Amino acid sequence: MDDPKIYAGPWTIAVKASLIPDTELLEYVCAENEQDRPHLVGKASDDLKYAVKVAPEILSQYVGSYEFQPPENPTNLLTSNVTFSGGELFLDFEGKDKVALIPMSDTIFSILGDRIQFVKDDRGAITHYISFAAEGDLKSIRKPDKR
Amino acid sequence: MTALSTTIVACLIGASLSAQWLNQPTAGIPRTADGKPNLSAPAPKTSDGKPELSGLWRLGVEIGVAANITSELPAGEIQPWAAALSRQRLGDFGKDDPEITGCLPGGPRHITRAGLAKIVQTPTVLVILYEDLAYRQIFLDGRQLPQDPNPNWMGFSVGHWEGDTLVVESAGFNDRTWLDFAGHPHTEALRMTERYRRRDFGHMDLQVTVNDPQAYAKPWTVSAGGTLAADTELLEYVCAENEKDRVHLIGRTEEEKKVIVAPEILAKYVGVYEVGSESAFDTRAPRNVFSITLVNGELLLDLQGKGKVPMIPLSETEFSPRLLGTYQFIKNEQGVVTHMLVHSAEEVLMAVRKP
Repeated sequence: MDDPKIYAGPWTIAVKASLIPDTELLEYVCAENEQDRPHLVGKASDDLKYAVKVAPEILSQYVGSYEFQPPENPTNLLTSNVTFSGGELFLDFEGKDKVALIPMSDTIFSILGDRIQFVKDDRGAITHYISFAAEGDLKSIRKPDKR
Repeated sequence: MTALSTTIVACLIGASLSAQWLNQPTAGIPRTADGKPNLSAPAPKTSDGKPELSGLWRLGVEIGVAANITSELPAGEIQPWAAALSRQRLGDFGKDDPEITGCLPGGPRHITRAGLAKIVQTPTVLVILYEDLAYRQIFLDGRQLPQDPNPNWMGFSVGHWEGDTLVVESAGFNDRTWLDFAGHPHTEALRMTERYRRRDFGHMDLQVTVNDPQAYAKPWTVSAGGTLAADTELLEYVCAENEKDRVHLIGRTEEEKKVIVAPEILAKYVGVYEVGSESAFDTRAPRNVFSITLVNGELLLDLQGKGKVPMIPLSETEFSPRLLGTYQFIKNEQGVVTHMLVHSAEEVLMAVRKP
């Protein structure tokens, strides 16, 4: 990427690519049945108004790495990391794009306007989080602790 | 803005685009002694002996056919529901045209419409790229069309060679696209057959057969060939960019819907009208000739002998066939219709009535 009018120097990013045999490119038409736009109001930061206080000992339970298997490319696992710092939870994707999670409840958090919810098993251990997307609920499974 | 309008605008602002690739010389093409592309040179072949169709082409049906693709069909071969739907869409001036006002893919209209198309041919797939960033994949690898496809906008296409002719079969279109500006519909049963034959280096014959037995009694064929577009390049056109038209497209007003023009007045407008100078909207047409006829109490318009689109009255002197805009008939002091003005977004054309 090189745009000297905005950025001081060029930079390079790696883009993952893998051959996808035995299938075909099928069309996607963004404008088809588009009904979202009038509902897209406000800003992600508006969620700050509705943030609740969550005790640090609860927040720290969510810390860990989570793995998401994209349905369209199951071999290309996406790892996200939840960290706790300065009394706040953060989420990043493979070490990049770290964003603060705004607590909406003890288990539900806002990330850039979207919602994720941490889920426990019967013993109270966090097993995964769910991202609520237009396409459906997407599950990111917690990886076993390295400790 | 329509693709047609875009072509017009591109012509008008050509000078400012020259810094892009609008005048990029095409590499590796035969040229005459004076350096011009030799469009009459022999058609090239691929390394495996097939005709090479790759290149940037200006293809498509004539503008009258784009306006009304069914104009050569006997009325009885169009199912009543399809004819009624077309009439309703014309009466609304195409305000719900999915391609023009919805910025959705044209599907079958991508196959027939006039404009630039870049063909990229490989032994197993032929790809066609369009200015509006749409594309088609025509598979040449021997696969069959899908048996029960999820209908989509651009359909599914396979091709095979019959001698030097590439025969392309397409199916699996959804039923949301229109076949022409007159809003002729089709169903999901639509099949399109294209027959491409590169006559020489710069000329492509293309016959397109439309077959939809659920809407039309029999298949019919239109010509959609064209010429190689040498020494230029495909430049993008983005329908949704700065789109401000849609909210203004309301069809006819309630007042306009009540307009009825007496047959004796309509009869005065019948005739042939000619645009005095070459217009930008169809560079293949040396002179634009509009013919107005009166059939069953309504005016029909064709352009260059094609089309026959009903002209929807807006007043006693103004009509719209949804082809290039609004047509206004002008009389002289003796009350004789001398010419008509064609009002479009881009220009006002004057077409003089021939004796």
